[in-house]
Order: sequence, then structure tokens, then C-alpha cells
Amino acid sequence: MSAVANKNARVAWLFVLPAIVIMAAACLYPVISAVRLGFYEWSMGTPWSQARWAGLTSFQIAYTEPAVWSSLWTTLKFASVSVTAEMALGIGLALALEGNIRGQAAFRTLFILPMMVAPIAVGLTWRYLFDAQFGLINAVLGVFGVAAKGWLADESLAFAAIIIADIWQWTPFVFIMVVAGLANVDGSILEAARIDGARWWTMTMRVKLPMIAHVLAITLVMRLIDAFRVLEVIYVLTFGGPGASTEVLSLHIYKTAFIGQKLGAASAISVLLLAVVMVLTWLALRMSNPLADSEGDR
Amino acid sequence: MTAGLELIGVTKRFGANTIVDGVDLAAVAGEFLVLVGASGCGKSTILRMIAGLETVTAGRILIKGRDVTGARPDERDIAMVFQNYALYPHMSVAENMSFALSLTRTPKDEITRRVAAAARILGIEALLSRKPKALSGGQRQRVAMGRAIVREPSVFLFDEPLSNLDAKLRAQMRVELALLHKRLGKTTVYVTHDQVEAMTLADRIVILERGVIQQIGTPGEVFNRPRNLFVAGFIGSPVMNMFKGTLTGADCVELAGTRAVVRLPHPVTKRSAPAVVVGVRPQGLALSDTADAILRMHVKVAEYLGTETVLNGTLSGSDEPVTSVAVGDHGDLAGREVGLSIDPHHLHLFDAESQLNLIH
Repeated sequence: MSAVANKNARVAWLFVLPAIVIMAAACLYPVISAVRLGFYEWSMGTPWSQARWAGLTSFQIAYTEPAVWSSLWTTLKFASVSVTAEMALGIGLALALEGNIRGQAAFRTLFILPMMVAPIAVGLTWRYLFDAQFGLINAVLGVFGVAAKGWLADESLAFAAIIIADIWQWTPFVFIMVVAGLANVDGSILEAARIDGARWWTMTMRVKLPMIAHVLAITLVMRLIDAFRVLEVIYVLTFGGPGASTEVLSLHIYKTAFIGQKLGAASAISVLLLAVVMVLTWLALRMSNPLADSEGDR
Repeated sequence: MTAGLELIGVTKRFGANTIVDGVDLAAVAGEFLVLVGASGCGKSTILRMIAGLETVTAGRILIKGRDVTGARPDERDIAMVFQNYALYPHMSVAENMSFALSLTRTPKDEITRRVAAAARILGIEALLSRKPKALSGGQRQRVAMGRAIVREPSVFLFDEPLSNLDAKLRAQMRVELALLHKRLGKTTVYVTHDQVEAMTLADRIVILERGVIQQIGTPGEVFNRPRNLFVAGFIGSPVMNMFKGTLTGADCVELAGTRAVVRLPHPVTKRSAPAVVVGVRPQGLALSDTADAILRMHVKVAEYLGTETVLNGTLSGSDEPVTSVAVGDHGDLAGREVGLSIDPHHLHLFDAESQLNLIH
């Protein structure tokens, strides 16, 4: 690099420095604090000066506890099933509502409403819907002659219930992302494909979806991160039960910290969750990186 | 001769708006037709109806005698080159060119052969593995043409293919397009608003205004014998001078506000009211300081272009705008008054009401 280029690079760094400082303060500080907490034994409500250095003890205890690994497994199952379903449904609906269909705008607006509802309210709503005695779902099933089910009392049904609630709330997010992505696809490319002989399936699989691959990747990453951190809806809907069948990692962290009063251990498990999410994000971005240099895949 | 492409009474309406109104057009197999007109004249809509991207409200479209009016775009035996190239950004150049063939299950070695042949013609063999975003505008344009060539269609459709290129590259690609057409000999419909492209590439030019064909003719015909005022004003650069006048005899016209009397090369035989419009191309107004200088022009701007100078100004006495082209450097004439003579052979006469050409 020449001296001039070197100087330019230094000036460039100077210009982005304020942004880096703000990013570091806003993003890194909480992460570092959480990690640091894992090395201490500290009871909430007591001054930090009373915290006691505990070294790796919390990490050792946390990572050898079977409940941590089983809740991680539950989280993995929850995230993979719900995110796969949300992606498939969101993409499918976006493609279906792409043409010039009457009332399209109204339907789109209606469809994104669930996303705007607070998670706690979503949890409460679904709790009533799934209620074994008074719930709408059992009532509707009853019309078709299906016996009432104890949705939130059965392990696999409860797991299905939290997935259904998540799909209901977050499919719209995938839907709008894909609709926005498709709206940005150059119409003449689709016309060129029509002239080339692409029918619906070929058009979708070989032209449209590959052209919005970067949108799909970022959507997938955002949904995965969110699914791994899911808490409120499950907190209200099942509180991890029955047994620990719906106890996802973040709920386990919550219980460890605020019920078990083991903040160090909770922090240690948080670090595990952070690592898993980071690995997943890295993998998803490797598949199709929306932030990559445009000349990158030459 | 067989018609490569035929449009019979083709009409396109969007609601109450008629965009294309009963267009009849036939291209001989191998002919290069250029559709020109201002924005919104319906030229692109006609091209898109031929391609099958737009439905036809009324009328029929035939390609090599086969009625394709209701056929899907890929069943029409056409290929189209778009203004913005419309390359598939996620596919390599080779994949872009072979996409259509892969969909018709063409054997692999046949695809490879055709892609290689088209790439050789266009000089893009070295680019086959690249993605479109790694190409320059000119290279993308070549790939778009390559994608059309590999399909070996009966009709090529071009929608303003050179308008996104810079002036130098545009001139170069224009020549290449002409050579390519000569080599492939396929019926071609080319839409442009650039009359240089129209004049240089076309076997015949189709001039459109508000969805109606104004004239179909060779470049020479539309330039020398414009059928009406619109064609006269549209073709030619700088634009033809138009002066209001009065027919005072079978071969005499007095120009309004100047008392100048122009003698026509032939007497007017077509019936006309006395009110006429006299059209003279800027090249037909020559600088003159002798007695045959029947007009006087106040030069406002003199644009020296290397071999000639374009003089812009107004007629002395009537403030009507006038443009003249004089060979050589006359940049020093700005601000001065000069005499102009009219070459009667460059003269056009139009009925002021019907706007039709009264001489040709």
C-alpha cells in the first residue's frame, strides 16, 4: 500500500471511529458484562462489591447439568421446526399473493397484524385458544367430531402448541421480507425468463428465489436468532411444562437466574446460547452473505 | 416473398386509453424494421405484443405465416433483447445464454456448441464463466444478444438495446448490430427513439405517433418524402424548419411575415387550401449574400461541429425560429444577420390543415 493510500485508510478509520465506539458501547458492553457475571457469585439486590470471584465454577456446574443440555435440545427442535415452517409458509404465501389479486393490499395488511402484537399478549391469546375446556380450538375440533384434547397438558401437544403460536406470529415477518424482496426483482428479468420458456415452477425455483437469496438468508438469520431467544410466549403459554417438555434455553436461563437465584450459572448458560446463535448465524451467512462485496462471487 | 412477421389490425387498449390503434405491418423474412416515435407512441407496446408479453386487444399477429396471437412468449419462435439487458444476475454468462435451451431439454453437447458459436460471433468467449455484475455495459449487451442468438429464433426483437450505453460504445455497437443482422439474416424488429439508429440500421422505418403508423418507408423515403408534418419534423437532425405560408399560385408560396416568395420546383397538383406550411431542412438553407438570398436570419447561436456549423436564430422580420447548416467553420456569425437561399429541391410543402405533404 502506498503512503497516500495508507493515509487515506487512516482518515477513513477516523471517520468511522464514532460509529465503532457507539456500536461497541451498545453491543459489546452488555455481552462482556454478562460473560463477566459468569465468573462471579453474586446475589441480586446486594451491592456488586459483595460479589465473590468464582472462576470457572459456574461454567462447570452449568455445562454438566443435564437440564441445560435438554433445554438446548428443546430449543434446537423448536427453532428448526418453527423456522422451517415459517420460511416455507412465508415464501409460499408471498408467491401466492404476488400477482394482481383483488383485495391484495387489504389481505397483506391483515396478514402482518400478528407481528405487531406483544409476545405476552400472543401467549395469553393462545393460552385461551388452547384451553382444554373453553378453548376455541377444541370447540372447532368438536364440530368435526374430534374429542377435546389437553393441549397444554400433554408433552408433545404442548410442544406443538408453542410451535403453532410462533408460526402464527412470525410467518408474517418472512412474508413481508419475501414480498419486499420480490418487489425489488427487475420485471424485465422475469419477462426474459418467460420468453426463455420458464413456467411457474422454473420461474420460482430457478429465477425468483435465487434472485432474492440474500433476502432469504438475512430473514433466516433473523428468525433463527429470534427463535433461539424465544421466551415470553412460552413463559405465558406453558412456562416450560408439562415437565420440561417446552423448556427452551432462555426460559431455563430465566428460571436459573430469577427462581434459582443463581446469576453466575445463568450467565454461564447465556454464553452457551450466545455461542450457538453465533455459530448458526455464521453458517447461514456463509451460505449467502447479503453483506458480501458484490464482486465476491465472481 | 414470405412474410417473416405480420401484424393485422393490431390494437391495444388499457381501459379507455387506446395505446396502439389498428396497426397493419408486414416484414419480409430477413428484413430489419425499426419502430420509432416519441415516448408513449406505442412502439414498445407493439414490440411487447409481438413478444407475447402483452395481450392483444384486437387484431392478429403472424410469425412466418403462423398465427401466434394467443401463444405463450416461448412458443412464438422469437427472442428479445431488453433495454437494461435483463440478464439473470445469479447465473454465469454461459448459464444465461443456455437457460432457454436447458428448459427445452436440448442435448448438452448441442447447448455447448451453440453457446460457443454465439460467444465466438460476439467475442465474449473469455467471459463465459463470469457473472453479469463482473461485466461492463457493453459486455452485458453482448451477452444479452448472445442469449437471443443461441435460441436461433425466426424473429429478433430489440427494445432500445443501446440506450444505456455511452455515445462512443453506442456507435460501435450499432455497427456490430448491422453486421450481426447481415450475418444472421433474421427478421428483426427494433424499437428506438434514436433516429440515427433508425436511419443507419433499418431496411424500413416505421414512424408512430399516438399508436398510429404515420409512415412506413426506407430511410431515404422517410427523409426525402415525409408523408406528413409529423414525419417531417421527427426525422432529420437538426429538425426541419417549418414556415407558415400562403399558396399564391400553382408553384408560388409567400412566406408569412417576410414577403419572401419561394418558387416550387413543380406546380402543386394536390388540392389544397391556400394556407400551407413550408418545410426546409437546415441543410437546404445555404448562406448567401447574392440576390438569391430570399431570407434573412439573425444568428443567435453558432455551433461549430468540426465539418459544419449549425446556425440557430430567427427570421428577420417575423421572429420565427430558423436553423441552417453551413459547411465549414462559421462560429464567428453569432450575433450577425446573414442572407439565406433556399434550395427548391430540399423544399417540402404541407397542407396547413390536413398536414399532408403536397409535393411528394
